Amino acid sequence: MSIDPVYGLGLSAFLFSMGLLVIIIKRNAIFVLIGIELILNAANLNFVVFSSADPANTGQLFGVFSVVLAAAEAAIALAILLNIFKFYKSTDLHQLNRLKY
Amino acid sequence: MTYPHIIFFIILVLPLLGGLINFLAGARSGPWIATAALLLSSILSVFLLKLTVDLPSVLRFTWLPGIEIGWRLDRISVSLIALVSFISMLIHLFSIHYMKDDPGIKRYFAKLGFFTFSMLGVLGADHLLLLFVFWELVGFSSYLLIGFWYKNEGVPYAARIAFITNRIADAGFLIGIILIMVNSGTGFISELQSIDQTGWWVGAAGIGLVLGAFGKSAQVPFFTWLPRAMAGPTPVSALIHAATMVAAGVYLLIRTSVIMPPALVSTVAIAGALTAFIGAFSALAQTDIKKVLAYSTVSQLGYMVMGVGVGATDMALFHLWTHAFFKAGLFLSAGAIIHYFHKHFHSIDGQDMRNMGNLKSVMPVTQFSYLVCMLSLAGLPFFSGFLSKDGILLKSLEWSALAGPWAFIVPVLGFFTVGLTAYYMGKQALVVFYGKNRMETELVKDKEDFLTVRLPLIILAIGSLGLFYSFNPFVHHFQILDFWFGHQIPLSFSMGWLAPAISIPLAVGGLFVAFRSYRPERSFTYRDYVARGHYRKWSMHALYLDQFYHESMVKAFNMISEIIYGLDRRFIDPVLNWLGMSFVVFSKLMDLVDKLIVDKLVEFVAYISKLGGDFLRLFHGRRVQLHIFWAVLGTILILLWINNFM
Repeated sequence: MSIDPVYGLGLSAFLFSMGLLVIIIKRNAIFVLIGIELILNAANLNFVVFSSADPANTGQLFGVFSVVLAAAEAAIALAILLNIFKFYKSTDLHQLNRLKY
Repeated sequence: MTYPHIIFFIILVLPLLGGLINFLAGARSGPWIATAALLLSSILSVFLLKLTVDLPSVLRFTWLPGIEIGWRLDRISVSLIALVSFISMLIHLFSIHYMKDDPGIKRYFAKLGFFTFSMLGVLGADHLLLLFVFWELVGFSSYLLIGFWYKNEGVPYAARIAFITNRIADAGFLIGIILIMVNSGTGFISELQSIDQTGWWVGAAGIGLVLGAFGKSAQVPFFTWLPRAMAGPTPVSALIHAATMVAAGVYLLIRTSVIMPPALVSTVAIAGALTAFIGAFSALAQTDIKKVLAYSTVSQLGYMVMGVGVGATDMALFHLWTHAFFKAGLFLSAGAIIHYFHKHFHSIDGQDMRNMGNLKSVMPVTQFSYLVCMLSLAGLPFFSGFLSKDGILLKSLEWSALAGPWAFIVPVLGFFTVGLTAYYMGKQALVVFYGKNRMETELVKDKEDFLTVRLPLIILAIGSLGLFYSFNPFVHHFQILDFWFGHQIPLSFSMGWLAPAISIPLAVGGLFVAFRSYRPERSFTYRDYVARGHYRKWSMHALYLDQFYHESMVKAFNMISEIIYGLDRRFIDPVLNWLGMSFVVFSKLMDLVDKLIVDKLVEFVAYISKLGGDFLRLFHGRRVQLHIFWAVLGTILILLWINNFM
């Protein structure tokens, strides 16, 4: 049983584009974080799709790794965001254009 | 560079060095150093005289490419070099005492050394240009010394008058030199005899040289600066304005008379005689002790110039020599008197003879040397002035007999001056040394210093004795004279007995008239000396020549200045103003061009750049998402480009 990888890759490209779109147009930092997650998942999907042609299944292993990494990264990013919000009382990216206050 | 020249250069430089070292040394030892330098100089010059008296020595060197100048040491120049350095040494010696308390004593001796250096240069120079250089240095150092007390009222003015009068005359001298050098191709004085003397320029150059000589030697019409020059210290008057510098003009005439046309030489003789007479006449009514001597110097210089004019150049030189001794002696005596008055009667004018009288009781040595020098000047036998003056008068008689009846004006004026000279000198001696003390205070007995006051006076008095020059008091040449001037003195005077026969009675008569009116027993009041009557006033003011110059030349000069000023205002100023205005307008135009065209161009370039910058700035906004957008777009475009065109 095999699926034509084009479908998988197409879904991955769609997810990537959506992620990018969200990063570019959304002002809220949480949405931007979501966009980043979408892009990460698109990459993960690519790993999975290409590993179907690989008998060693290394790609799927990488996929599991990066899901774990994504979870950790999301936790850290959300913690940072929480602190930013506590400090600025806002998560609007247009206002958060300074690293030093 | 031969042996005599080395000695000459040492003689030349020693006074200058002495003056410089004196300037660096202390105020007490400095003057003695300068005097010692002069002493060495005069000893060397006697030695030089022995070397060159029969053997002229010439040194030439290239000054600029194509222009050669040189020195010449012969009988005439070396005898005068010896005279100048010797008299200068005596006057240095006297100045040590005279200037003792002056704060500017160092400056004084430096200037005196500078003057002696310049004067020796004039005498040694053989090229007219070289002579002119030293001639001007002499004039300049004379200016410095006249203006020595420059803080006193009137002194700078007197110095300027002397300098400017000499400058006017020197302009003629320079023109003469240029004419000679351009037309004959040589400027050497010793070669003047052999140049081609045809052409208009010889007369013109001769007139120029005569003008220069007349200015320096204070002849008519330039003589008014010399009495004014008495504003300087008295030893300076003795050295410069009596013994040496004023004789430079006579020296120049002696050297250059070979190229002068006969008519010019006759004019020189007449001008000299006229100067002799006017000087003596002006001395009659003077009340200032130095002014009498100054006008008498003018008068004696007139004799010398007259001597050159009538062809008695050797006698003119002889008179220059004897005059240097007795006139320096007279001036130094006057200096001793002035110093005495300055020291003991500070509030009284020590130059006004009307304050003096009976000075023989307090200054016997001064009186003795004054009497010897004064009798020498008056022209009595057994004194040096008689020998040289009668030599000139004798020659003038002979000359006028050959030249024609109009020429008798020269000896007539000359003999008349003899009488006048004896009169005013006798008057001065009687008023100053004899009679009663005319001051309200008693005279103070004060013995002068031997080395610095009495010794120079005694030496100068001995130099004024006739025996020093000739063993026979009535013949104008003999052994010692031969030594000084060689064997070239013309002695075949046909009227040899006539000149003494006229001049001795005249001189004795002049002295007698002076004695009759100013004899010691007669008492005078101050008022007796005030210039009354026409003749006294004309004499007092030297024929009003100075006032005439002031009224005519100075006023005319001022008027010309006024006219030129008016012309400036009327014609030149508007043109300049218009020029200035047009410049301003032009600048305004340029300013507009700058502002409207050049500036706008620059601004346009800046505007374009700004536009480009603004456009590019659009892609680099503050929003981080925009950056990402452009990055993605760029990546897509690059990928598309790679896809389509690679």
